[in-house]
Amino acid sequence: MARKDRPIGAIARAGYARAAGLIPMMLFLVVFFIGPLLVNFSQSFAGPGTMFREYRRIFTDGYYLLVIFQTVLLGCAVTIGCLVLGYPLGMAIARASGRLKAALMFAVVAPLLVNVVVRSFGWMVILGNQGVVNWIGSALGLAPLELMYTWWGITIALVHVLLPFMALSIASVLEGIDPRLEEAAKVLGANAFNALRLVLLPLSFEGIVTGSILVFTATVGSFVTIMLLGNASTMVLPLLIYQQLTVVSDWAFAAAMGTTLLVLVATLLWVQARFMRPGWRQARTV
Amino acid sequence: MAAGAHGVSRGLLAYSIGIVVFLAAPIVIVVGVAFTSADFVSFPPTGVSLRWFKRVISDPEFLGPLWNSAKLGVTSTFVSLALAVPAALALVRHRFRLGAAIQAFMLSPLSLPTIILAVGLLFFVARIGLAGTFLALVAGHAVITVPYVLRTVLAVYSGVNREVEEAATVLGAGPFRAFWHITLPLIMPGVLAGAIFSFLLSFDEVPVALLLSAPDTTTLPVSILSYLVYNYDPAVAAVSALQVAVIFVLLLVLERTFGLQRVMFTSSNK
Amino acid sequence: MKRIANVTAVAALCAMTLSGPLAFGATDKPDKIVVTAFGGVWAESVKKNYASCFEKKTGVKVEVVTGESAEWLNKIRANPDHSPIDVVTLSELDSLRAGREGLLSKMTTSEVPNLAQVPAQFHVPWGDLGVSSTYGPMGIMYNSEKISDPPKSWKDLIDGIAAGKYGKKVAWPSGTYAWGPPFIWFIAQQYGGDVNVAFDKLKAMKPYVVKFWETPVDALNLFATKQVDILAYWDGRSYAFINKGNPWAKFYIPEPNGMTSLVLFSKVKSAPPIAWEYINCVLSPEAQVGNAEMIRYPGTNKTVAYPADLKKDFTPFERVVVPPYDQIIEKIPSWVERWNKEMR
Repeated sequence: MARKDRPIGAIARAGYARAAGLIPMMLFLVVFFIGPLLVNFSQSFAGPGTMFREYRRIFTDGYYLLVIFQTVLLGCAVTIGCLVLGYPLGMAIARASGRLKAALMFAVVAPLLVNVVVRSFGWMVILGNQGVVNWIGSALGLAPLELMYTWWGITIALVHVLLPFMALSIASVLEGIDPRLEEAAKVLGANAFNALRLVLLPLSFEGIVTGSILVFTATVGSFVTIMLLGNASTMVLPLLIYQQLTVVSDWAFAAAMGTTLLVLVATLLWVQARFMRPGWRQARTV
Repeated sequence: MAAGAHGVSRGLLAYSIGIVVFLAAPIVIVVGVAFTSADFVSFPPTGVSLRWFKRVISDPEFLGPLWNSAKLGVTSTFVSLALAVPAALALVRHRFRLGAAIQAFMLSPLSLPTIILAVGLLFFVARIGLAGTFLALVAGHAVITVPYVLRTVLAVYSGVNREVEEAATVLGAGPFRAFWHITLPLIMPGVLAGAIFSFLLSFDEVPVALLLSAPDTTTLPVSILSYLVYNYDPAVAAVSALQVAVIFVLLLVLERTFGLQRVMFTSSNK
Repeated sequence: MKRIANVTAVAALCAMTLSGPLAFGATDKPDKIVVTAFGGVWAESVKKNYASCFEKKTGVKVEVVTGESAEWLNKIRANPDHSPIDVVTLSELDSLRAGREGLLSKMTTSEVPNLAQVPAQFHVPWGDLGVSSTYGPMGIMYNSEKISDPPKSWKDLIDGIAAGKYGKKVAWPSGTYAWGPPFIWFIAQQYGGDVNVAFDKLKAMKPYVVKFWETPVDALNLFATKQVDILAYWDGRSYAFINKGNPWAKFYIPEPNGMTSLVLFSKVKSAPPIAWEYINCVLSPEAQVGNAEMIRYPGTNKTVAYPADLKKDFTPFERVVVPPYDQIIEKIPSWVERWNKEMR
């Protein structure tokens, strides 16, 4: 674009001011994120034995690799669950107004206000063998579902608490979409489904990506829900880290696991940023 | 006509009601437990009583931390907004050569389990002389929440038509006025979503608050957790029920005074 | 404008918090000491029995901090010269770790006269760097309406569970619970001391265990909601549950004895000498009785006489065994790893 090569005075100055907007956050993260990260990173080499011993323990043991895989898989499952349930909810929130909007936002935010342990006990009442789900199921003549201490129960509980991150991310982006675009599509003959597919989804893509990133990373870092609603067969990396920091008191090993998870997820985030640049401002035509 | 006010279709409304039932289910149980008259957690509650609410409201073990959590949540949210909003604007405007890497770096706190971050922070702040300070707590929480704000503002801002801002600048508005009057209203949905996430995350956060707290800066989730280690009674359910009630009242008040089509989320593209 | 206001606010916060008092001089009387306690009724007991005793004797205020052992250990480790905590209550393992890292002060009867009244098993294994105020063995709590002939010994219990005698209505501490590894040691003791046998027994029990619990509250929840009929559980907490209107629940220590948990009080090295008086208060007869009345765990001071209604719930010293933590501590990483891998 010609304008970029020859900036006009005021716009250029405004541009530099905005570029400098990066600096406070970068500085802050360098001090308060990289600092603790380096503390952990150096600890991961400080264990007894050779320098890479803790990392070797992780990467040469099928068990730990399996746990990493399970952690990522859980992240994907919860993200997909939140996406499927959260997109329509985001649409509803964006389109609603007044009391309905307030009610939906309250409902979506309320799970986060209940302490995680208490919330988990609530799920035990619902998902347990004599719980609400099975009570309804038996009334309908269905066989009892084993939901407690399984990946299913954990996924349901995590989707429940992380839904606001998906729904509100999508709602905030949908809010900015001119409703006339959708109306125009309908006038031109698109049915509701095509209007969604060809107009809304591409325009709200950034919201979907945001919600997915936030839900995935939150899932991959959580352990209390998994500790209470799962058992030894549903192990994830953060729970292993917690064990190492408390019962075993092996900071080196915990730090190695934390660093591994960080590198893994940060790489995924980088790939996402690299290949999905913002800028899909146009709706696709058929 | 406010954006999106062409209303919620019947299908969408039915779906929303279903989702609300799903979201409310465990909470209904928690609230039910909180009203029990028994000494122990039981659902359905064996009798109805306000005794647990009375106990919790008068207990400094919960009241002080509640105030600390609110203070911490508000402060760390403001700090996150101050740091992340300018950064998000900069990232969208300028196609930095290392844009993807910068974004990945700024989002990387999301990838580090907070429990490991907390341990690192504990030793790091001790080394720089901020051990046990409120500042360290705010910084710790801001590290966690800043990526959320960055991401939500980024998502909204990348869909915004920037020619309006450039027009304002050409017409003589300084960068600050252009931001306040043009950009900010346009990105308000993202800012608000980020602020909500930031506050909720800070209010519910445990590992950093656990390790960085001093006796007078204990937060509510931390005091709930230490209570739960040795006490199994409905007090904690009552605390949670109260938290939900407070937000309910808050949203009701907001709706009454501002009418939520204007405060929450609305971008003024009309 | 928002940003300038924020920066000012943050700067003001910095100024306020950094100007607060950080450390006391070693020779003057400090204006307060900081002690730790577990949450809820424990903290109440600490304030009522220990803190008031200390405040009366010395005129120095006591600030009680609630939380958990691992958290306190890390806070002390991060600030060895200006510890935010003066008297800390660590778990048996954390106390050993803190001692080995040189974070604690050794106590003798000149600083803590009441130490002489405490049997050796409650302080000598920690090199007198910590002393336990109470002890509480793990025993069996069961639903007497469902189980009429509870097992006589630990061996009977474990073999019975593995044979399916109680159905799938059992809860058991996880090997990754804070007292999980010592309990694995204890199980091994019932079968001659071989830890491999203990793991075999645990695997045999697994089909009948609803949950290997990581926190005691989880276990109690399962028992109180009748999802579990029999479980290994701590005595003080069991009696607290029973006495709160649950006479259908019963508790006892099977043969030969019960593994105890201890709460080790230590003075942190950088704390002022006046803190010793707090530990002395903790071990004093009045405080021991007061504490026992509130949290229903017996004290370690052997000269204390308890009222009859308390005494009936207390296990005598002889029926309690303290696991050899200094030997177990090296094995914990491998036992935890074995648990994770073999019990899933």
